Amino acid sequence: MSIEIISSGLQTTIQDLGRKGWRHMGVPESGGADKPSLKLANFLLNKALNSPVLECTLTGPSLKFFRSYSLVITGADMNPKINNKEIKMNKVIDVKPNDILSLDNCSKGCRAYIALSEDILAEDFLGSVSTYLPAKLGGINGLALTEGTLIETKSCESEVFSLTNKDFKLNNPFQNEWKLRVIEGPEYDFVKNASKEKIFSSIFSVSNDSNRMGNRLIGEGIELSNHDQMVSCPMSIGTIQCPKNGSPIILGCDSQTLGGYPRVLQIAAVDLHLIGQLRPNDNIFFEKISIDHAREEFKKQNSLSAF
Amino acid sequence: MKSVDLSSISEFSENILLIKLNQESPYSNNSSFFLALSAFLREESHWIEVVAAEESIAVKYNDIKISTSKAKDLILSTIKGFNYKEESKTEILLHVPVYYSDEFGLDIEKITKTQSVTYEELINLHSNIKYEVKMIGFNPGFAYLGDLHEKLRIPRLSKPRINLLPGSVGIAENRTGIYPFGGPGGWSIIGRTPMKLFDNNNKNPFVINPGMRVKFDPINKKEFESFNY
Repeated sequence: MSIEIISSGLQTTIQDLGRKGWRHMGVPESGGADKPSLKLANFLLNKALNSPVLECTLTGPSLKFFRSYSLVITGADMNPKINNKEIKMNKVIDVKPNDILSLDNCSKGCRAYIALSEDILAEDFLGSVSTYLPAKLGGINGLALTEGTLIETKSCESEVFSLTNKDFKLNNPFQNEWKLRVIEGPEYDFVKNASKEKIFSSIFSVSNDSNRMGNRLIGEGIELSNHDQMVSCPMSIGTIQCPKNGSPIILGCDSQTLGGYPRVLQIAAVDLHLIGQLRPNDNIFFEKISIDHAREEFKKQNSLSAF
Repeated sequence: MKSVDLSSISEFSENILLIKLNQESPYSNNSSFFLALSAFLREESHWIEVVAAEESIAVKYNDIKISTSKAKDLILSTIKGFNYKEESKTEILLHVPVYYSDEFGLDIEKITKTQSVTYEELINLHSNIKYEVKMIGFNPGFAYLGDLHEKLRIPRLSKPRINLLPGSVGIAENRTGIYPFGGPGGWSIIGRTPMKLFDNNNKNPFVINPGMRVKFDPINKKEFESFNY
């Protein structure tokens, strides 16, 4: 016995960086919805960036430890506490047996990541332990963690270092209003001209009906000139689909591989991780950029990243 | 090959290209052409994902390592070596037992009424065809099989269900399919197979694959319950 879930939080799952190369068999990538935050947690512990972590959603869990660990919490700030004493985000924290870590609600962002100095043991499916709830794959029995669940860990080879505690500057992007950069999707021209202008001048809000599969948006309806049902087409994480009702859906990391609604916009790769931090009622506005500009921005972001 | 050239490759996102046919297809069956071409492309190690839909293929590449024009060239040069012969496919026929019943067939009664068929007719119409795998996707291992008999063609449910049982057999438009893991689904459900369509011990854990044909064999409740593999 290594860790016990005292309370589950809203939806706490085990995630790594996801499954690659199986979309042709209908298997989505999954993995952390905000991968840079997941990687940062592992990076600060000097662990392999793909190590499994706990992904917490809106309200975090409470955990009781039965061994000593170092841990790091990144992503949305859920006011983490050890034995009721506040601890810092994005810092290596040491815990000892019988310590209780409790996370609360967050007011900005949606997901937090808890990485541990030991490796979390979970079920491998196609090279990843990421939990995919719709088909109950990965994680522990493919499920979100519930009260009383026991998580086993084993020591890992890498030596945990706390050097990174010194001066790691974090660009905190968490807010309740987001600018998301987008490029034109393959069916962008299905959108009526009047609607094209409105998309980029109006504000959308994130619906309560949002999850790891997708964020549904509420706002000025997008009118399409072509209402024909499309034959099923490949989709991608960050594809903005527009069904007949005009309410766009941003496809998330657990989204289906194929779909039949027009792909009107695509979130630029440079902002793709932000969709994992959208919370219900957040406001969104879209800025359209060219695909070349999007590539430059992504390369810039990549070269600035410490990991 | 004439049907794919540079003009038929477009950009879906910064690191995904879409391949379509740029003229009237010379093939009677586009979906099997795209499935075969996607499998051929997947053999090259350049690609992160190669996903076939019925009328296009998405190819994802690492745009930090490969430029877009290089990716397009690689696709075209690979396709040059692709020799597709519609007739010469050797097909494996997979028999899938199905218990057609009200017990698991959530929509079977409704369909008999809207399509004016008896239960027996519905079962015969659905199980007498050797279906072709048209496409795989939507959720893990879900194969779009076709074509469904015209008498059974109905639209998708207006409101998808959230949690289907694994092995549920559904129909929609001209397609039928089995939900290997259950989960959400918008197709009308007519029965359930006890067969496991997935084996984690295999390198490719999925039982239904492109290039196969699938035949449904009706079974009764007793056979469903005693089924063992």
